[in-house]
Amino acid sequence: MLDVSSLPSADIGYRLKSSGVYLRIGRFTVHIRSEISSLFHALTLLYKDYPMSFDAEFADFHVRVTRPLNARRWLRAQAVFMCDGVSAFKPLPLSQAYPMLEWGLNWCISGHAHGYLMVHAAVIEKDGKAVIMPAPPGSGKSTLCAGLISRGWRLLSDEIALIRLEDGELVPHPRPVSLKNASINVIRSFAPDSVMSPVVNDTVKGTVCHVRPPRDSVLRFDETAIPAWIVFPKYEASSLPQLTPVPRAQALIRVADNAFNYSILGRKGFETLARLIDRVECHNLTYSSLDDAVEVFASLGSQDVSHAA
Amino acid sequence: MTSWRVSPDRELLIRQWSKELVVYDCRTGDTHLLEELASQVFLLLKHQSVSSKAVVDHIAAHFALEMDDDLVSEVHAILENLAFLSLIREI
Repeated sequence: MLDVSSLPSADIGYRLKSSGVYLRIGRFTVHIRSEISSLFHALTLLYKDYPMSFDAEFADFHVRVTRPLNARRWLRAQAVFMCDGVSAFKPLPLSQAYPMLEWGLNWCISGHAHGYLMVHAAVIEKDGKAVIMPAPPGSGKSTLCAGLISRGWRLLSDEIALIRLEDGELVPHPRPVSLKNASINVIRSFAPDSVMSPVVNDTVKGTVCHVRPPRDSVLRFDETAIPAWIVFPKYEASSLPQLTPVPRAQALIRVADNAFNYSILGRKGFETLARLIDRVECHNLTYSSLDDAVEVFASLGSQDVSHAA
Repeated sequence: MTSWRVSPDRELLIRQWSKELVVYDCRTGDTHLLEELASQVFLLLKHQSVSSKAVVDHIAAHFALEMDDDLVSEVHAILENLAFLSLIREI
C-alpha cells in the first residue's frame, strides 16, 4: 500500500465518494466511504502517513459517514455514521462529520475487537517500554498523551489499549489524538508544531479537534510494545507533580473498571489482566502542568519509588 | 457453633499481591478485591472448615490484635460479607 500523501488527492476524493478507500490503521483495515468534504480534508490532513489503497480483499470494518436521505440532508444538514450498512448512532450536525468518524471507529473497535483485552486508556512507549494510562473521560488523559508524543514518546493509542491475550503485549492502534475545550489551546502552546484538524464546536463533548500522530508512530504500527508501567493520571490545577505507588490488587480493579470487554472475555480477561499487573509498576500521577508531567515520565524507571506490591 | 470454609464447588481464581487478594469467580464473572483482614480470613478457610471463634482467634494472633468485641464484630462482618459474595459458606 502507498500512504495517503503519495496518492493524488483528487483520486482519494473521488474514491471516497464512490467505492471507498481502504485505510490501514494499526492491525485494522477500515473501508471508508463519504461524500462529505470536511471529512475528506480531515482524512488527507491527519491520516497522510497511513497506508491507503483503493482496493483490498478484506476490511475489518466497512464504515460510511453520509448525509441522511430525509430532509435533514439539506435542511440543518446532518451526518450519519454507518457500520456494515447499519446506522449506529443518532445523526449529528454535518459540521461534526469528521469527529463522528473518529467516535464511530472507537465504537467499531471497542465493540468488536475481542481478540484483545481492551482498556479505555492512552498508551505510549519509549525505549522499548510502554506506559498504559487508564482514565475516565475528563481526567486529562488525551491532553497528557498529546503532550508526551510531542516530546518523543511513540503513540500506540490515545483511546483504547489493545492487550494481546496470548502474551500481554500491547498492539499499536495509533490514531489522531482527540482534544477538547481548553486542552486545545494548551497543546497549541505546548506543541506549536502539532498538526490539528479544524476545530468543531457544539459537540456533546464541547469543542473538539484532533491532532495528527507523529509519523514514526504511524509507521511502526506493526511493532508491539511490552508494558512496563500503568499510570493513572489526574489533572489537578495548581498541584505539584506527584507520582505515588498504587497497590497491585487495587490497580487490577481500577483497570478492569476501565476495560471495555473485561466481562465479555470472562476468565481470559482476568488472567490477561492479572499477568499484566504482575509485570508492571502501578502509580497515580497528579499534575497541573505538562512540563512537570513530561519530566515525571522521563524519569520513570529511574524513580526511587518503592512499589506497593 | 458455625463453621466456615471456602465454597468447594466454586471455581475461583486467586491472585495475591502483598497483603491483598483478588478473587475471580468463574461462575459469576465477578472480581473481588479483599483487603488485608478479609484476605487472611479467606486464606484460612481455603482448605479447611474453621469455626467462627477459631477465625477470630487466628486473626487476633496473626495481626497481634487485642481480643475484644470490636475485633469479634469486625471478623463476623467479614465472614458475613464473604458469604454474601458466595466465596465462603457455612458448614
